[in-house]
Amino acid sequence: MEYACSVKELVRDYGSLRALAGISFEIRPGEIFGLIGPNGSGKTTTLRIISTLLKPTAGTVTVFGLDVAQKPAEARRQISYLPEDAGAYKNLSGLGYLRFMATFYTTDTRGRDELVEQARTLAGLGDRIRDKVKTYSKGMARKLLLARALMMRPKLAILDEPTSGLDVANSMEIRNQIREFARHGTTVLLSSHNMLEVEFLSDRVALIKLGRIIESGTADELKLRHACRNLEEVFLKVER
Amino acid sequence: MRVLLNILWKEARELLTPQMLAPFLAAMVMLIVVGKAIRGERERSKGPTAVMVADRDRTAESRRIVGVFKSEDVVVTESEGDSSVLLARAKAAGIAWVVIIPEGLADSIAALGPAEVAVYNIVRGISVTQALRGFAVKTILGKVNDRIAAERLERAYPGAAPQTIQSPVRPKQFVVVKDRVAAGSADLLQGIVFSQLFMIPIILLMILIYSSQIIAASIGQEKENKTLETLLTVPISRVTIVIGKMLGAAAVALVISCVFIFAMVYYTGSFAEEMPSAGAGGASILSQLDIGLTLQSYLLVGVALFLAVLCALSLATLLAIFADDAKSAQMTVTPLMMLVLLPYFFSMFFDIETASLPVKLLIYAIPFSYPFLTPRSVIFGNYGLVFAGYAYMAAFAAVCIFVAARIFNTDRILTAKLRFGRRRREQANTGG
Repeated sequence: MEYACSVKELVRDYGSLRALAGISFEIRPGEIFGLIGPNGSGKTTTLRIISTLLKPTAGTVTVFGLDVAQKPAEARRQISYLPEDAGAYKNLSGLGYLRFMATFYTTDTRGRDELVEQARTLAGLGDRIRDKVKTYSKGMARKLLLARALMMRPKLAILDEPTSGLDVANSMEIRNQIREFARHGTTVLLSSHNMLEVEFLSDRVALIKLGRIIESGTADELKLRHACRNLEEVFLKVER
Repeated sequence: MRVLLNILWKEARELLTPQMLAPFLAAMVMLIVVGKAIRGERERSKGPTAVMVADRDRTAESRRIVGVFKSEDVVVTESEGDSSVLLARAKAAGIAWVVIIPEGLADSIAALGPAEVAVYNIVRGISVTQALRGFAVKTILGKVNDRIAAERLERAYPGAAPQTIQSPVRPKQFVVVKDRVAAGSADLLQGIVFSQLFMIPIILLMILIYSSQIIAASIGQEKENKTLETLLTVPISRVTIVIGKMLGAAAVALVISCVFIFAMVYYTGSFAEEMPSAGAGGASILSQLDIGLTLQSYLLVGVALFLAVLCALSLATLLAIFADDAKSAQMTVTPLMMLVLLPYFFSMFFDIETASLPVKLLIYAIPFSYPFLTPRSVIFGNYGLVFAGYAYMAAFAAVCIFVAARIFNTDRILTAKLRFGRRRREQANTGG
């Protein structure tokens, strides 16, 4: 079976600091896979390597069979990455930003307009889509960025803390959109330190601490295995 | 091409903001206002100078002196009284100059003795107008002296030209450039060349500095706002991103420079009238020596500027890779500023031909020297240096673009940082 994403013995060093100490996991096509861990555990480093932004010190990552270190350009055609705390260009309008980004994914104006229309619906910003990004609230900006990340219906969407810093209503809306996209075939790899959110969204999860996967499985499996009520309790139990 | 234009459009939209343009527009307005004020002063100075003349001699000679004043572009008010009364009257009437011709002046002149005319200048302020008007009064007195001296010489040596007697040996000057000779002085040639060149280094300096600051700010902002991470994961080549950003910065720098150049040309135009220009004599020297700036010369300077901008953009891109944000990006391009300022000051005060070997080598090693050296080289027909400069700048830019593209292809674009005065810490921005 070809995995949407396969990570094997992944190591990443920053100078003398080992951020990832040999993590491995696989994501099946169409699955929502959650990476859970506290700040500094290596979640973002993992996602950046899969997104071709960072090179691994050791180990391999493949996306739909493509080695991201060997064939980064080909891998980028399969993925879409939403960084944590990402910004959009402040002096562009929301619509201008979507048009700018959509141009990289199509070769003709019609195709670009279709992508923009799709993203416009996803963002749900109404007439505010014509306003400059710098006038947006954090929630509006995040919705715009998520729409940008999903508009081209990527085979693998990599979402780093997709609801970080958002209120309940905005978080729920974004979670629903992620689920909707997964239902239509997009594989999703997301990270969060909000374990309840990941439990709600993900088909399977991996718990990461100090650059190592300390547990993985479905939320129900993990809760049953460790006799806990939720993933937070599981994490606290296994990290000891 | 579509992707390249897309990045160029985005860069222009992001960089050409009112906040960014405001300081440049303010500087432009200031230069225009100052230029206008200087022109106004100059226009005022062109009006007739008011002079109060007191003729205490009352002889034919003294009346002829008053007549010389009246024949010039001067408003003469004749008056009488002692100097304090005359000065009070002049002050009340707003007249800045009082000339008192003393009693016995004609006798002193006739006896070939020294004769003094008292000239009072009532100073109300120091300005261009004041200086020019003072010059007018001194010129008139010079004419009086010339006339008296000529009359004496004509009486003593009838039939001889007074000018020949006053200056029996006069130089007939020639200026030699390479193998061509022209009648005229080197001072005049220098003045003409300077008047043609003096704006060019300032324009070059501005364009080079703006271009490098803009590209550095652009990369710094992308890092600060974390838009670079998104851009680097889209399916386009990193070389396209680098070149797109450079083109965008070049376009923005061009717009800003045009605004500034317009203001600078207006401002410096206020002084330009005083400079030796390529008038009839100047044009003759230039054509005899076959030198001067033609349309072709400007094209050659333009090519040098384009290549230098390319060098500045590519080097600034390399330096900005080490920045965390827009603010630190400005700091990282400081070494580049030094490399631009050094040849700028050199070109203002020295000539590469007469510089010592180490200085020559240093200037030749800096790619930004060539646009400053090109106008002079073109004027004096030193095309070898012009084309060698092109080749050097093209090679320098190509190497920088290649290295920048290589770095953009690695993760150093996100992890490289400059650390000053502290132990190298581990990469802080590792996120979750």
